[in-house]
Amino acid sequence: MPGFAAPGLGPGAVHCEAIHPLFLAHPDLIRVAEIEPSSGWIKAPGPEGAIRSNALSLELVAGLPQAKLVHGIGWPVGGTVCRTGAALDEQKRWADLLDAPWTSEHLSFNDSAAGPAGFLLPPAQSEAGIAVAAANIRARTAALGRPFAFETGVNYLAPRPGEIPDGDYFASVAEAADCLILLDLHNLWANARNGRGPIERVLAALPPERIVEIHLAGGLEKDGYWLDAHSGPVPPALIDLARDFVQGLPNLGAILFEISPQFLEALGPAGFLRQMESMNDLWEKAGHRPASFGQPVPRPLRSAEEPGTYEAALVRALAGPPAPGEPAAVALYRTLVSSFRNGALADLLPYTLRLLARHLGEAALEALLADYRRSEPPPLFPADEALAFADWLLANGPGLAYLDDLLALEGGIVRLASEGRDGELRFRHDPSAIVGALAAGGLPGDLPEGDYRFRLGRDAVSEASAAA
Amino acid sequence: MSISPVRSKAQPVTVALPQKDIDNLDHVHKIVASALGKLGCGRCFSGFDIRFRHGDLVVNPQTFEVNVLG
Repeated sequence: MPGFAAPGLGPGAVHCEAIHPLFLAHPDLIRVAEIEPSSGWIKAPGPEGAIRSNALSLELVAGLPQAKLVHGIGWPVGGTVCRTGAALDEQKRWADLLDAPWTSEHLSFNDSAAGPAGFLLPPAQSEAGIAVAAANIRARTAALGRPFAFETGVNYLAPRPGEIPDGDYFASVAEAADCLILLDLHNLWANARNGRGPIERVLAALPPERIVEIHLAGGLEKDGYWLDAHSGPVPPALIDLARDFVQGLPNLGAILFEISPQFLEALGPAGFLRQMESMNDLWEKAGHRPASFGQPVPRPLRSAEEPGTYEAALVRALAGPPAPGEPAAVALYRTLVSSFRNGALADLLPYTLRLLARHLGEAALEALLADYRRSEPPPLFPADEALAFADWLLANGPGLAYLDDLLALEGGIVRLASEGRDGELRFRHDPSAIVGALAAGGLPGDLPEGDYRFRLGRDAVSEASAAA
Repeated sequence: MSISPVRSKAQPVTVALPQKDIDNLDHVHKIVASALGKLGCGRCFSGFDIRFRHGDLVVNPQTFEVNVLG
């Protein structure tokens, strides 16, 4: 991509609905909105279920006054199993409609010959791994029809013997694919804090002219690791490092702050805007001193690791029970995968989980969820997770009063919405009485049996999914 | 009849009359609207997910301890 001159879009943030009003109110402070289209997608049930977009989500972001960038999160380019198909068509449609100057995805993998991983995992940093990633990126660039940047990923694993160092790996992939780089400084900061070596060494290896975008975020500690949790303000020391580094980036187009919606309430609007002021300050410093360009640096690419074998082994380790003597990072990844899967269930089956928690208690509920996770591979979309758990629970769960009613309610809503159709849901007991008792902190008492029904009428999800 | 669009979580959800009266349709409305807003892929981050929290099932975001209340 030697001829691509990134437009100077400026400072901004990853967009989500909760902070949409701030994007509207502060276009001078927030000049770029990074959009994650798949957060607004709806998928029909099953492995091959069709993906459609919520046109209202697209309409919402299209109306933003900011320049837009389009970022992928579920279709990473770092592994041997690299999804293609309809999702990329939809990603391209969003990028076209939003006129994104470039798109981006993670240099990670989330699928393997051993099955899906349920999380973005670090790719094999070997010669073959570089070739795999480069081929994926070239195909993705062609599919999306615009310049492509890979995101430098977080890696909680300890450096493995013989693997290509992080900076050399990133640089080699960029050069082999002739693509751009989305430099996630918080990911690299986390990697350094977790023992993968100094961040300065990684940054020094990167070709500065290919870096068009920077991500910054906050994190937190868990189990002795610094997590890329997007949980708050950017650490001041990382801001200092970024302030120095961006001065040597001549082709930088955007500096973006990321925060997870889960943590927005704690940061608050004022805290978010203070982070945006920091992004603006960094933007003022960018590209102010000559970067040292040059020919690709010869690198000792000595790792012969076969990517598919590495990927499958890691996914199998995460899918299985804890093994004696396993690396701490494997245990951490297993915990993170579990938290994501539990999160999807908590979003879509909240009262089902609440009923289970009330009856079973914390330990037994977690054991039940662990049984489920071991029996069902992690799907990419939360609706598939919810439906799989609902089916599994009916077949394998405890026979608790009103559980079938709650699954008929919550699972039924998810199924109809995912399928994009109307339909009738039926219950033996009044679902509002069950939900009301749970919401009040108790359990439902004896409820009269009856033929309770409601019909989800015209499907607004389907309506909203009409091509924009 | 329509249910609220995905984006408009606060809008009411219209449902047909049940065979037997559902006592409080607001509860159902809220569940439908909430679910419709959460069908997309999760957001980009590699940390611990704290959505597993339901008022009576609480994860402390600092310590990640899970407690069942009530």
